[in-house]
Amino acid sequence: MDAAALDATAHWNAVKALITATDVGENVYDYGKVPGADGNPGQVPTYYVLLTVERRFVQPDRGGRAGVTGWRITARYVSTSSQNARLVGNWVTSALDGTRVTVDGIQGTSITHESTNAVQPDDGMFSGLSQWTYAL
Amino acid sequence: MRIQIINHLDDLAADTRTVATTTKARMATVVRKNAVEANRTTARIARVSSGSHGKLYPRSFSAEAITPLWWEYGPDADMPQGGMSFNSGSRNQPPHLDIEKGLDIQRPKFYRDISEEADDLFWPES
Repeated sequence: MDAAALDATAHWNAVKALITATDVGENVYDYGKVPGADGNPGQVPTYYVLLTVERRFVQPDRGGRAGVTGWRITARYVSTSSQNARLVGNWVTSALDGTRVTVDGIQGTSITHESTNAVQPDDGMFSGLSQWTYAL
Repeated sequence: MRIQIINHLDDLAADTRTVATTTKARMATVVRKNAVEANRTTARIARVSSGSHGKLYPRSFSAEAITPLWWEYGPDADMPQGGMSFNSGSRNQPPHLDIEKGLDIQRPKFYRDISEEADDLFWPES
């Protein structure tokens, strides 16, 4: 597997593309990059998704090799009401659950739900967190 | 070279008696070992991810038995910084996922230990 397939930014962009294809639109950000927050210009959107994609540990085989790379997605869906935060969470779920990303021409396994934290108050807004995993 | 293994029904009956009476205690040992290891591994991961801001957070980790075959581990909310939301984060802070990362490492070990223990019930190491 070459370096491009291991590039976390390429994975982030591929997952983001799945989410932006839904009603979430372009409101998908890295932590610290939300408009109107953390000193960024603009206004805080009424709903948005905070996305992380990072490589996870995969047990090597007996020969010490890992045949695949494992990845973990987290999506925090944020909105001004608990109901709307859950709605954004549904959009994210519909974008990711069971779908596949392609990075550097390699198609990943189905994106599998790992866990979800229910929507709750979060610094003046409401948010919930869901996690998924896949392998490439 | 040819290896021939002969088993009799008596052997199977003896094995079955042993399995019935010892499995729970042996598996409890496996569960305890893995819970303690997982807790230690996760606390180590948390020590790096929580940084100076959460210096006490890794020290809040503990493992305890709910039943002999059911253990819980992780940050104890009653301990200093144990209730902090490092693991899942918030809209102002990315999730650290220490628990998940620890589980990624421990899960295959746990499965292997369970499998080896089950194997050993029928084919004990001499």
